[in-house]
Amino acid sequence: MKNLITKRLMYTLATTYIVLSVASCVEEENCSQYGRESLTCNVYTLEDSKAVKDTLDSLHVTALGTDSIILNREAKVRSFSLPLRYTSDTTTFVLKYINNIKDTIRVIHTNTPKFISMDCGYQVSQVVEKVSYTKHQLDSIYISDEEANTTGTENLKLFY
Amino acid sequence: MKKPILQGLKISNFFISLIVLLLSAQPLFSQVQPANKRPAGKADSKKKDENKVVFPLYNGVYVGADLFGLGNSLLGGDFISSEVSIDVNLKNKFFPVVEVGYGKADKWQDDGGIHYKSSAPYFRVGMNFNTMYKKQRENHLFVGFRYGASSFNYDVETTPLQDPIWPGQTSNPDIVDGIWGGSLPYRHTGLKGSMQWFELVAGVRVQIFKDFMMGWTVRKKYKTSSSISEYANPWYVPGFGKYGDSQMGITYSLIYKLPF
Repeated sequence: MKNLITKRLMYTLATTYIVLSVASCVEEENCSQYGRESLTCNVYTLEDSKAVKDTLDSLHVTALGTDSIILNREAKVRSFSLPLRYTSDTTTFVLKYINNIKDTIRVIHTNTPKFISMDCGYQVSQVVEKVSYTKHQLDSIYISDEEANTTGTENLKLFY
Repeated sequence: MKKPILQGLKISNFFISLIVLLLSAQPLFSQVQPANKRPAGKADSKKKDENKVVFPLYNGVYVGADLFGLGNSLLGGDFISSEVSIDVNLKNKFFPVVEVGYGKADKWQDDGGIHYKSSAPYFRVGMNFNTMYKKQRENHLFVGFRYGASSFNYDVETTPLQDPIWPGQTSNPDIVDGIWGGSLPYRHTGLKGSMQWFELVAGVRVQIFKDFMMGWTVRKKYKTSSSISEYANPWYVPGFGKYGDSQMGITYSLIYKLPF
């Protein structure tokens, strides 16, 4: 009888342990993939009608209408990211080159806030609809991917 | 950098728990073993063959109610659910089962203003395989599988706080544009979602008094397909738990074997 009670007690304790252990197996959510999206721009030049990666010296990029500096006279810029506005469907950037010549890039885009989870909060999905620009030093812009991303996937090819 | 280590520990913790679950059932089932444990000789094996129990195809219907979903909520869990299961004993080996339940979540984010609300029914169908099918007692140690589905509506909102005295309102703290300034409002109600999933199940069922039993199951659930809104992921899926590719689940049931 004593043996039976001991076995039942052991069973109860083991079961309680198992349930509490499994209940604690809550997988933590990885929110790092849900950061702020931006447009990745790569610099190109045309050589014999072929796109070849290029660099820009002392590139200064600012956000029009704010005092935000996105790129501060960076040397040998091959690639850079442009964050789009959440609260407007138009975002304008001013690019200032080493010779003080300026170009303006105007991006028209959509903003769709999406709830990810209680732990990760929201993410705003942004899709480029149209890009217009000045051609003081810039030659042309090709949209290679409309969807802004967090992975560094190329969105715009800037040709000089 | 700590997360992969923690996840590894949690995964190993799960498998250790599963092994302990199976081992812990052993003392219970040993209660129904015969007291005489002499090595089986030829005569014994012949006698065993003569005494071998042949179970009929139909051995009864069991109705169970899950209490873990209710208890979990009372102990501070985010979700509440109630569930009823019906399974049929075929040859004391196969137990086809249907589980029907109702799950609900109504949660405010702890350190933010997000409010998530959802409630919907769900169902699962599947089969348990009793590994102790040679025993005549109503004690089962089983493994099994389920296919589950749920179709649900959900509301997600973060409404800006209105100033009751001075005109104006605060911005939405959860979608503040840190670079350009300003914030986006967010309020989406009546979003529609659905999900199907597959479960691997391990569990025990023991007789506590006559036709009354209790049982635990531990489940690993895997999403097979889902349909969600473009504006929001579901946070809670009734019957599955937190939305994701896989999830753990537990049930604790009180079970009654119908007298026919």
